Amino acid sequence: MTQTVDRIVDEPGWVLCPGCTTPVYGKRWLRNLSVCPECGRYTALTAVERLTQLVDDGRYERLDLVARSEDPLQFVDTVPYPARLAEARARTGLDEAVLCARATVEGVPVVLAVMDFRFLGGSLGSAVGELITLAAEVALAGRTPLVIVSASGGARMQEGVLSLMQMAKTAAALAQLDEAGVLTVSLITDPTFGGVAASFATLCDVILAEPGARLGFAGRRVIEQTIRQQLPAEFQTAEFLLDRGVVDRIVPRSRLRAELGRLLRAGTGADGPSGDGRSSGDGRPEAGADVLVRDPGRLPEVDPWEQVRRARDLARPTTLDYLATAFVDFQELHGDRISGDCPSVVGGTAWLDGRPVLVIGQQKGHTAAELSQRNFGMPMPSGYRKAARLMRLAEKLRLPVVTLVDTPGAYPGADAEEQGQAVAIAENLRLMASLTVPVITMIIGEGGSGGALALAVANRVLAFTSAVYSVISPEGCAAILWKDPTAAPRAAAALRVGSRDLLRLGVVDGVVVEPDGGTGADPLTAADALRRALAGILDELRDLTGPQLRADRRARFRQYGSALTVESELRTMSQPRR
Amino acid sequence: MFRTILIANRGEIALRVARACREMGIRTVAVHSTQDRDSAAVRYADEAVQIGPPPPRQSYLCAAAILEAARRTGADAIHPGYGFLSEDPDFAEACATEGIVLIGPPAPVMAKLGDKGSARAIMSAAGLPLLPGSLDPLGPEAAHRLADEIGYPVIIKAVAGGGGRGMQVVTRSDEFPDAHRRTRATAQMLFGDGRVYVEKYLRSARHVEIQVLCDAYGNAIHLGERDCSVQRRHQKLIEETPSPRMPDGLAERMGAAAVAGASAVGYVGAGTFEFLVDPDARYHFMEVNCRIQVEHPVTEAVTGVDLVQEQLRVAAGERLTLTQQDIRPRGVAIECRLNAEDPDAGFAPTPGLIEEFVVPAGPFVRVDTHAYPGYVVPPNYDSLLAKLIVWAPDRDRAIARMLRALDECRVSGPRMSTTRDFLRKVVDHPTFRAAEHTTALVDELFAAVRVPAAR
Repeated sequence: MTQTVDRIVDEPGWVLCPGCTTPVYGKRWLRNLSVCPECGRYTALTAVERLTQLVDDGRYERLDLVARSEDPLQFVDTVPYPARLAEARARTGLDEAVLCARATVEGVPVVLAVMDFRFLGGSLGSAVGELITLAAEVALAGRTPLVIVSASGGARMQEGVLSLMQMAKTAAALAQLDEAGVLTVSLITDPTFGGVAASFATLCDVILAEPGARLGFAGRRVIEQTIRQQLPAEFQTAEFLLDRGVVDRIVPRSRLRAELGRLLRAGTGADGPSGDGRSSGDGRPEAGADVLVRDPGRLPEVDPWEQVRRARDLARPTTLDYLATAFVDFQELHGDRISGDCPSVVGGTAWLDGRPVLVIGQQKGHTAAELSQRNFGMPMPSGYRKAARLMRLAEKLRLPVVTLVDTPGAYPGADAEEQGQAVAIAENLRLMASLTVPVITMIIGEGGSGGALALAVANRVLAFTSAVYSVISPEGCAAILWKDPTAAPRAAAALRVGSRDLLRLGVVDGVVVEPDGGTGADPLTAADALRRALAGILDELRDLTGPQLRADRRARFRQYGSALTVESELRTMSQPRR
Repeated sequence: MFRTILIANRGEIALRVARACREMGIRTVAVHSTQDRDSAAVRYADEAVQIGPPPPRQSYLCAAAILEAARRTGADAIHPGYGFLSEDPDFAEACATEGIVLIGPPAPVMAKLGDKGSARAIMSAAGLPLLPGSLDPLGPEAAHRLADEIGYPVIIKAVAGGGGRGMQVVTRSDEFPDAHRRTRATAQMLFGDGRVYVEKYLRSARHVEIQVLCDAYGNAIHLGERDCSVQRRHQKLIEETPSPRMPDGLAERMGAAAVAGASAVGYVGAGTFEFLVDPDARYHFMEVNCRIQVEHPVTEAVTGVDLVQEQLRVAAGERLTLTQQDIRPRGVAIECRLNAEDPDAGFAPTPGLIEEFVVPAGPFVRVDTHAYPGYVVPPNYDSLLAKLIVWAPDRDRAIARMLRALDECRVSGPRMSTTRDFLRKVVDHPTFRAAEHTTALVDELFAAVRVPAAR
C-alpha cells in the first residue's frame, strides 16, 4: 500500500525515501515535488500540497461547499465510524477526503476537486460524492473546466450502499458537463481504485496519470486471491494502462501544471500557446488561394504508377512531421478507452494559425524501424476507435477536426478482424457524417480505401499533388482482375488514383501543389502550403452553423452516384488488399 | 583554525587536501567507499570512516552518511574537493545547520551561481560580458528578435541535438526565419523533439578561466588566468598559465571583471570564473565554479600560493593576508591530466590493476597522484590517474620539460591503457607549440588521424 513519508517542512530535515531508503535532504525532497531525486519514486501528496503545486503561484480559493459525512448505518468495526471520521479530520485538517477550489492554471480559470488519500484512504463516501457533484455544478454554472485529482481505495464501506450510489451521482454530474461542452480533466494519482476508478476518475474528457500511478476496478490482491490469476509486476500502472488505451498521457509531476495548461488553453480556446501561437498569420488574408488548385486542367498529367510511387516515398513528411511544422503546440492524446492505443493513428489538440483544432492522422515513418513501430500506418480497430473518441471530444468542445490521411489501408490481420475492423470503420463513417463542427481532410500521401475513408468524411477533402486515393491498392486490383500482381501500373491507371483524376471526379475539392521534388524534398515548404490551405478552408467554413456543417457534409457524400459509393467502398473490405 | 577536517572526496584531491592539512597541523578524516578502503588518502589520513558501497550515490554523494561521519569523528569542517558534493547548495546548507563548516562559498551563493540563469543575470549586472543567447527554447518570433539583438552569426541548436547534427549557423537576419523553421523540422524528424535555442556563434574560441580568492570580509583578489583550451567533449586535458597569445591587458581586464563578479555575489573562498575568448579577443562569461579546480596546481606553480591552505584559512574566518600586489606570477606552468583511458577506443576508461607505476621527477616537476604499483583503478569513479605539472621560465622550456616528464612516465598493467602518448602528441603538436589552438584542437587532431585510417 502507499507509504507516506514524514517530513519536516520548515527546517532542513531529512526524508527517508520509501523506495530506495536513501536519506534525502528535506528541502531537496520538497523542491523535487516529493519525488525521490535518487530513485524517481513518487510519494503521495496531500490535497493542499497537490493544489499548491498545480495552480498558478500556489494560490487558490477554497469553494464554500457544504457536505459532511453522517453515519447512516450506525456502522461499527473495531471503532465506531464517527470516531474514525473525527480522527481523520484531526489528523488531516480536512473535513473530507476531497478538497474543492477555484484557481487558474497557466492563466485559465478552473474548478478543482482534489482527493486526499490520508483521509480514510480517499474513500468515496456520501460527502465525497456530494462535494465532487457540487464542484461539477459550480463548473457547469460558470462553464469553467473541471479538474479532478483522484486518490482513493474505492467506496467507503462504512456508508454501505449509499456510498455505491455516489458513483452514479457523480457520473450524472459529469454527463451534464458533457452536454454543456465543459472540458473535464482527470489526473490519476497512486492509487485510484474501485468506485472512484469506475466513475468520475475515468469519465473525464482527458485522463492524465502520474508515472507509476495505479488505477483499476479490482485491486491486485483481490484478483490474485479470488481467481488466482498471475499478474505482471507493472499490472494496472499508468504505463500498463497507457498501452491499453485507458489513459491519455503520463505526465511527470514537474510538468503537470504546464501540460494541464496546454490542454486547458486548447480546450477552451483561451489563448494561443506562448511564444509562437500566431506565428504565421502572414498568409492569412488570401490564405489557401495561392496554394490550392481547384481546376484539374491546371494540374500536370503524371503517369499514375509514378504517382503511386511518389505517394509512398519514405522521404515524405509524416503526420507527426506536419504536426511539428504546420501546426503549433501539438498535445497528443492516446488510447481508445476500450482496448488499446494504436500506434498507426495519432491525434490530439494543436493550434493552426492561432486557432485550436483537433488533429488526427495515420502515422507511417521514414525508416524500417519507424514503419514497423507504426505498423506501416495500417490502423487497428483501436486506431479508428481512438479517432472516434477524439472526434467526439472535438464535437463536445466545438473544435474543428483536421484529419491527415496517409495509409495503405486498414490493417488486414486476423486480430483486426477479431476486434471488429469493419464495425470500427463503419461507425467512424457514421460518426463523421453527424459531427456539427468543421471537418477537413488532407490526403498527405496514400489514401488506401476504407482505411483512409474512415478518417475522411469531411466537409472538404484536399490532397497533395502526389497523393493517391483509391478503393483498392493497384497491386490488389491487379491480382484480382489481371491475376497478375505485375500489372499494378496498369491497374493504377485504370483506377485513376492520381490527384488530377480525384479532382476531376470531385472526390477531392482542391489540390495543394507540392514543392519541386515532392514534399520530402522540402518539408518546410510543404508544411507551409498545408497550413495555408487548411487555414483557408477553415475560414471558408467559419460562418456555417453546426447543422449547416453537418448538412453540407452529408450532401457532399450524397452526390457520389456512379463513381464510388460508400457501399462499394465497404464491400471491398472483404477482398484481399495485396 | 580547524582542529579536524573531514575530506569528502577520494583520489588525488583527497590526498592533496590531506597534505595541506598535515602541514598546518590539522587532523584529517578520510571517508571512503568499500572500494577505496586501501586508497592512498585513507592510508595517509589520521582517521578513516567507511561510508558506503562503491556506487557514488551511496557513498561520496550520500550527504547524510558524510554528515554522520563528521559528527562521529568530531570534524569541525568538511573539505569537499571537486566533483561529488562540492557544489551542492543543499549539502552546504545541511552542513551549516549541523554547525559544520563546508569549505566553499556560503550555500545561498552556491545556489545562485549553480543556476545558469541566475548566475548569468548576476554577472551581467556586475558588468561581465555574456555570450548572448537564449537559455530556453524560444518560439520563432522571439528567437528572431533575439538573433537580431545578438548580431550575426548566430547558431540555432536543437535541444536534443549533439555531435554537429541538428544545428545551423545563420549569418543574416533575412535567412533566420527559414533557418529556424528548417532546424526545427530537421530536429523533429531526427530526434522527435523540435525544440531549438539560439546562441551567438563563435567560430573558434579559447577557454580561459580566472582563479579568485575571497575572504568573508569583502576582500577579493585574483591569481591570474589558466588556459584550458585543450579539451575533448568539454573534458579538460591540458591546462597552462599564463594563457599564451593573449592581447596585452586582456588577462588583467578579465581578472578585474572576475573580482568584480565575485564581490557582487558575495563570494567567499577559492573560485573560478570561466570565460570564452573569441578570435577578436572579446571575452564572454560562462560560469563560476564554486570549488577547487583540478588544474589549480598550475596557478600554485607560478604564484607560489598554496590554494588549498588559503581555502582553509578563509573558511576558518581569517582575513586574506595576500593583496593583489602580492600576486606576481612568474614563468609558465603546464598541467597534463594522465587518465586511465584508451584514446584509440574513444577514450573508454580502462580500470584494473596497475603493475608498473613510475612517475616523473626532477627539477620543477610536480606529480599529484593517488596511484601506486599494485593499485587497482576502480571502475566506479573518474579515470584520472595523475596530474603532471611542470614549471619553466618560458613556454618553450615548459613544453620541453613536459615532454621529458611524459617520457619518464611509465604506467602499465594487464589491461591498462593511459592517455600519455596522446598527451605527448598534443603537447608536441605545432599548433599547440605555436599556441594557435582553440577548443577544437583535439577534434581536429582526431579528424586528421581518421582520414588516412579510413582508406
